Amino acid sequence: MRVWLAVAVGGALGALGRWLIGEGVLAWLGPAATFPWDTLIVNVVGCALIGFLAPVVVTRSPWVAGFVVTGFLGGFTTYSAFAEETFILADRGDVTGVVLAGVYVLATIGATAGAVALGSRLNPGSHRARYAS
Amino acid sequence: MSWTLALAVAVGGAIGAPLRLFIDTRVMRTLSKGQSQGQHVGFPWGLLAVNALGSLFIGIAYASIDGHWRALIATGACGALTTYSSYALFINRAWSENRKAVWQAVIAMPVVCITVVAIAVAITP
Repeated sequence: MRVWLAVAVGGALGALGRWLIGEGVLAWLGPAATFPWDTLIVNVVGCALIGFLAPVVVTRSPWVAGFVVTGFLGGFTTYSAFAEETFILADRGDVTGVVLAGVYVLATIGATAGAVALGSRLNPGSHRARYAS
Repeated sequence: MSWTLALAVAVGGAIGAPLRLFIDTRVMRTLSKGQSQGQHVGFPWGLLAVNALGSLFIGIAYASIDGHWRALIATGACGALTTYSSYALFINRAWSENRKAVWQAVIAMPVVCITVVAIAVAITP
């Protein structure tokens, strides 16, 4: 029961953090910006954090892992917005939109993979010893 | 900044994240029945299920809701029901153990979820 509650509270905070970054990016770039920088930033930051934190929290209680990884980072990063934004770009009706959709997908895949690797490398803990088999 | 919008996003997140845990756990438990519980890194069916479901809901919401309902359902609930961090962590960990699953996951996740959004937008009146 406590784990579910921790996941819910973490999810609420993570979603809120994602929304705030979205509002910040909107205020910074203006409503005319077509590339979904906000979601890309959120997903890359969340992936760096999970790479760094996952080896730490698995050694703690399920409550901590539920709050930090499943709740907060799970709620912070998103796939539905990524899929929706890719569709919107591809469906825009011009070649540039289709190209941007492709760039967005490849940039997200590459940057998130790099972020997890960087996060786990920066962690001084046991990650490399545990998973490098 | 609107506090009521922030509240709607937070409430949606509090619904989506536990729902993701429930569905992911259920799917993986069902699939692992009868199999030995080892360190084998298989395909992340649970994550595909939640991300596809969230993509379906956000595709339906795309043209049909706005304002606070969008903040609650699309940004909050769909955003937290789906995830990128666990998926990227899976790819990182499977890289050294199951390279085939990595490529399957890297290709299947965006193809399935973007297609689901396109279908949901098309069928929503």
